[in-house]
Amino acid sequence: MGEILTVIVGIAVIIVFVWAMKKTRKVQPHFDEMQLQLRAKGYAAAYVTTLIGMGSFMLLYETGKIDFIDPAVCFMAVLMASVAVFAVYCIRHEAFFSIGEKGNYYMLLCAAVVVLNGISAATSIAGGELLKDGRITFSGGAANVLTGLTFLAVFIALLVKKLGRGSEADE
Amino acid sequence: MKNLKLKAARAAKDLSQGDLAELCGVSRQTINAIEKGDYNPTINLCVAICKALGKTLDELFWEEENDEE
Repeated sequence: MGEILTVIVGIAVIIVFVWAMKKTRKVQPHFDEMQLQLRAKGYAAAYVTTLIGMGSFMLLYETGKIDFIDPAVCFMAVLMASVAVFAVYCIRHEAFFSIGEKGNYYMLLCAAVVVLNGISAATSIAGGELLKDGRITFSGGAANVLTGLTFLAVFIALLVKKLGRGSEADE
Repeated sequence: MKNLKLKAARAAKDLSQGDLAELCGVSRQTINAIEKGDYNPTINLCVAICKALGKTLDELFWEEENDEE
C-alpha cells in the first residue's frame, strides 16, 4: 500500500511540476510547419516502437523466455524506448525544441535525471533489491535504470546536436 | 529541387537564413530545407517568404518547364 501511495504521489508531483512549468512559461512554444511534420513522423516512429516492443514481450512471455523479469519492468522498458525514439528523432531533425527555444536547460535537466536515477539504481542494486525471488523487480531499481538510460540517450542526442550545430554553416 | 531563386533573392537583401526565418516565423532549418529542395512549404509560408523578400510567388517559387526536365 505504501508503494502504491509513493507512486501516486510521485506521478502527482510530476503532473503539478509540468503544469507549473507550462503556466509560468513566458512564451508559448511554437513549432513551424516543417517541425510539426517531423514531430508527427517522430510520434509515428514511437508508436511503431511501442507496437513492436509490446508484441515482442507478449511472445517472449508466452514462450516463458523472460519469466525472470517483472511485467511492469517490460512495460516500462517499452514506454521508455518509445519516448527515447521520439525524442532522439525530433532532436536529430531539429524538431524537438520550438522556435527560439534553447536546449541548455533541458540538457541540464537530463543530466540531473541521469545522475539521480543512477545513484538511486546503484543504491538499490548494491542493497540487493533489484532481484527478488530470482526476478528483476520494478521498484528494486529497474525503473531507475530504465529512466536513467532513456534520459541518457536524450542527453547524448542533445549534446551531439549541440556540438554539430557549431560546425553548421549558415548559407 | 533546389530553390536557387529564393537563395539569390535572400542574398540580394543581405539576409542570412536565420534572419529570413525570423521574419517569416519559422526555424532556420526550414528555410535551409526549402532552399535545398528538401521541403515543400505551404502556400502560407510561401506568401510570408515573398512578403519578407519583396518578391512575387512566381519570382520565387514558379518552376519553368526546362527546370523540371
